[in-house]
Amino acid sequence: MKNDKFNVVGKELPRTDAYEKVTGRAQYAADTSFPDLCITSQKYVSLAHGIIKKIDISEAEKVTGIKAIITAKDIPGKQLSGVIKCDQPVFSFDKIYCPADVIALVVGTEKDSIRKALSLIKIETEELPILTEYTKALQKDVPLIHPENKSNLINHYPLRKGDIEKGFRESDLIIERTFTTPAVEHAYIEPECITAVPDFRRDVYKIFGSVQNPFTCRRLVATVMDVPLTNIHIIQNELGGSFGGKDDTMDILAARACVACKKVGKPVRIRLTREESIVESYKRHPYTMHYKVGVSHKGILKAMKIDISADGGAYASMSPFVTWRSVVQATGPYEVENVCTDVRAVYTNNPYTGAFRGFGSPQIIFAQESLMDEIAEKLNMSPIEFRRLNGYKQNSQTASGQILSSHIVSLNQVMEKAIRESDFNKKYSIYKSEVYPTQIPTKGELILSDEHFTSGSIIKNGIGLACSFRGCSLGAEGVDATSALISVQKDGSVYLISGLAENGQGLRMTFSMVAAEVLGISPNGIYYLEQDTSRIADGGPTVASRSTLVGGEAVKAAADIVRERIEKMLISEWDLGEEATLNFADHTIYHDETGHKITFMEACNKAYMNGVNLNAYGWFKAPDVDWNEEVGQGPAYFTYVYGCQIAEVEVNTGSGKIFVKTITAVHDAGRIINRLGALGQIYGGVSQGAGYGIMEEVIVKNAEIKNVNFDEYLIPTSVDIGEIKAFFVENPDTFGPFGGKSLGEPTLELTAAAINNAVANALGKRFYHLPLDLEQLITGKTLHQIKR
Amino acid sequence: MNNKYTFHKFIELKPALEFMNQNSETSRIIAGGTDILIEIRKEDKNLNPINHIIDIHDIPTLRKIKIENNFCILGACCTHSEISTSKIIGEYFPVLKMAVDKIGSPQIRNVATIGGNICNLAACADSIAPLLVYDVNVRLCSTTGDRIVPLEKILLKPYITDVQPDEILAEILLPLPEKNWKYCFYKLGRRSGVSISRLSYAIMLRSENNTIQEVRFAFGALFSVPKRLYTLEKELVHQTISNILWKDVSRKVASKILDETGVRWSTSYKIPVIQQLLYKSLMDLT
Ligand SMILES: Cc1cc2nc3c(=O)[nH]c(=O)nc-3n(C[C@H](O)[C@H](O)[C@H](O)COP(=O)(O)OP(=O)(O)OC[C@H]3O[C@@H](n4cnc5c(N)ncnc54)[C@H](O)[C@@H]3O)c2cc1C
Repeated sequence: MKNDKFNVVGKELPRTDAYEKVTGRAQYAADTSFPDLCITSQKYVSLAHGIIKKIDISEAEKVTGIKAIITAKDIPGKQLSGVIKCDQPVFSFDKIYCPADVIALVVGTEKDSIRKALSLIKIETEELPILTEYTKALQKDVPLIHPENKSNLINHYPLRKGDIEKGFRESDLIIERTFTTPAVEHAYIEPECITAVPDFRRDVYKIFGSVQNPFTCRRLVATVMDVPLTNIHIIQNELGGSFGGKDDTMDILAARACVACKKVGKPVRIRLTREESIVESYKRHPYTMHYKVGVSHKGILKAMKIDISADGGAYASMSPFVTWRSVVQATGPYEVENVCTDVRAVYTNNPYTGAFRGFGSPQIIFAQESLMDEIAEKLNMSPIEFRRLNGYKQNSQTASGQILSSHIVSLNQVMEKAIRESDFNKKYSIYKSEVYPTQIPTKGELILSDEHFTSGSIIKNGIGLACSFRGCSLGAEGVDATSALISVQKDGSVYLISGLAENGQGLRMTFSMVAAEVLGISPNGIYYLEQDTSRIADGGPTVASRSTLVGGEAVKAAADIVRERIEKMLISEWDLGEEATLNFADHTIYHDETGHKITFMEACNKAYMNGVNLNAYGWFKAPDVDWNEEVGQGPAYFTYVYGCQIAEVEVNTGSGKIFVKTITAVHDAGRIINRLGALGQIYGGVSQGAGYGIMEEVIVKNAEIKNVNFDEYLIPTSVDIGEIKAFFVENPDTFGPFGGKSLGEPTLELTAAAINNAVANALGKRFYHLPLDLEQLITGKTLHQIKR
Repeated sequence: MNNKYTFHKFIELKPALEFMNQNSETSRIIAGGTDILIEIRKEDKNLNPINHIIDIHDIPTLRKIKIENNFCILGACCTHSEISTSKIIGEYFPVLKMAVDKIGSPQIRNVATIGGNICNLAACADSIAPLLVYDVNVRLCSTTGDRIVPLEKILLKPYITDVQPDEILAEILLPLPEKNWKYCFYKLGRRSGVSISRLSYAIMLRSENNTIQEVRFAFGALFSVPKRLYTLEKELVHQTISNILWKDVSRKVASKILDETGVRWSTSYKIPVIQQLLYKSLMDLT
């Protein structure tokens, strides 16, 4: 489906790194080697909360073969890390906040002596009472995790719109429900690995690793090392998956490795085992969400009172940003006159939580979309009718008072497309009519009586939908600008790099396609440079589905500059007059009217010979957004995307097992740049979302993670998800390269909610907790709730 | 840790047995390695005395599947993939084929062996219940001679078999069954691929005019080790098949599990589920 207006944009192209990845040639962090490389192991204590009385490394240091044992004392600069609040020790020195804390790093050259030294490190601690129930974290008389804050509150976001009491008075039906979602693991295939390498220049370090956000990493390492930013070079290796997960954890590991590198003067590598990775890395926030919704008998949403608490775990990390997205989007894509939302993130001794693809949206969408279906049911309306009635339309007003006028509000478009492609209406009513009351005993009798046995089919079908709106990029979270650098060689080949880093999502190909479109060349002629913080300006983090939108604009800006210079040179050479415009396509530059024509390669050579600069820096700064923290009002994001997913499931009523038969995913991501990359985002996001829906859960007991490897932490395999039908509705935005905006996170955020609605359609019975595991379907309690 | 083990690869049974005889306290067999490598990585304390890893995976005599005198002789080192694609197994022992097809992933099935599945003896080992319903014997070899015993006799406790430290499980001897059996195998895992059984069962049934002639049940992941229910099987001979009967059977199985395992965290889930699934399977069978 090539768009006639474009030569490259919209095509399905394999990514620049595909060949290397499928042939095993790509170099991941642990594949690289360095002369004199020291390996390491980290010292944890099996304690969730306690005071460190004494750290004694004297015996451990004596072990032959040990190069150094690094503790907080070796840190030249700042002891604490944290992008928003500085509360996480690089090496623990006075207090243990959770079982993932690291006290020391043993540096050596072979595993045996390192293990021996680890066992000889003596740590005296005084145990403190632990806090694991985050919904109780703000009660009186609970342990304080960071006592200096005088409370376990990390942040509180209120949002007030209209008059909530009036809204409920005007409602004919009021429904109150509590939803919970679990902590989940990113489950990237590649565990963390980082190597810090000393440079011959004093206090200069090169750090290679699986780093999601090289610039964030550089900031932390520089403050910990107490050196200027320029002294730290972060060079990103191929990333074996990240999904938001290789940010804080990687940055801290980089800082530890660098401290060790300074001390031993040799390259130092930290490489986590899968178990260490699962224990030490942050998770998706568990949420408990209380929703009270009022609606008129005609089905108009009148009032929503939302109370959400989020488990931040031991450190603030991204909690303030994650929960901010939740407060903006908590009502879903529905117009509600009166809204009163409170979102709080709190400290506990649990594993800390941070960024994870979706970033505060999968939780609230699970709650709000489940509720929309339940309310529609109570009103005897179809879930579609109810959503059409209340859903955002052009110029609708969001809960934060923003008028959606500057982009196309395509909620209805995506919904209609998904309904059509999945044959929703017909299936929904057939499956609904096949529901019988579930026969499994609910009173806890174990031995079934005759009437509890089902003789007919025990497989029930169901279909359900979920839709969402999502603010693109960072919004009022922070500075939103990024850069790109293009350098065209005299033979027409091109170097490209941007301030945003490839995370495995295919950004390099998308950016290459944007530049190729502008220059009229093939993206294969573009050599995407290795990500190195010394090569390009800090472009902020690769997060918030912002790469294509923000980074793509910067790439386009850079390519446009080069194109203009070539154009100018040729116009003057061909004597066409100022007003003339040239076409760039198929490696040729030509002027239609006069028939002048030159290959791209020749033009570049000509530019080189004439001293024309074909190197350019592109910059894009996102339009201003605004947020009033007191009342939660303001234009939170400068543009939004819309999506609708419909899940069709088979539920085995005997075992409680759900098979996700089909997911129809329709997303308006603006203009699609690389169709293959975009499809990949949908397939991956949907699979991840389905895992969140039916099986994934980090089991935490007494603050300790119980399922620390993939034998027990289950993610879906290729045979667990049926067909994924992906469709795009393309409404090019004013912003973004050629109008392309965001897709990465929307693909994940909807799936679990759609599955929950499909299960309700199949069984005539609703569930309020994720995951929808075997236990919950049969006993009403999730595995975690049973085991706790 | 790196130097703890010496690796010995044998391509004939006899020298392997001799080595085992000389070093019985310090040797451990590796076949496909899909269980033992995990124990090694975890530094399982059962491996403390072990210094020798004895690789028998490529001993040709342990990789055969053949028919002799009304028995199928299945080499203990046959991989699950080999079993799955064997014509003999497909024709005579379909329940076994159904079970091995559900083990792990293609990669696991390509190396993991049926002997390893038996000797590791996890409660959830998927190949054992089907072997039990086929009434199989196993041949255990050592330098002091072979012994042939019914499979269930060597299944002692979770992870403990009666295979002696100097013995190798060489063959599984499956009597060729008549062909008039109805059968089923059911495995329930949390997910559909690469999944540990939450429960599994194998059923074989012969009936005439709606009357049971013989029935065999074996269960995996429900008792401490995979197990046949002989008493129940005997009770059912000559009984008339009906949904009432199958409900009763399902309840009896559940009660038996409750009696033997007591109430655990998984009981509230497993007990109702086994009854419904078993009932459904029995109804589908008849
Ligand atoms: C990812 C994964 C998925 C899995 N999925 C399943 C599954 O779905 N179902 C299932 O049942 N199992 C599963 N397993 C477990 C394992 O694959 C099986 O138990 C397999 O059959 C073991 O065979 P092996 O040859 O690899 O055994 P090994 O690891 O080589 O040996 C296991 C044990 O048996 C002993 N042993 C092996 N052969 C002999 C012999 N001939 N004589 C005496 N002792 C012997 C060894 O000393 C060792 O103690 C899985 C394992 C993994 C890693």
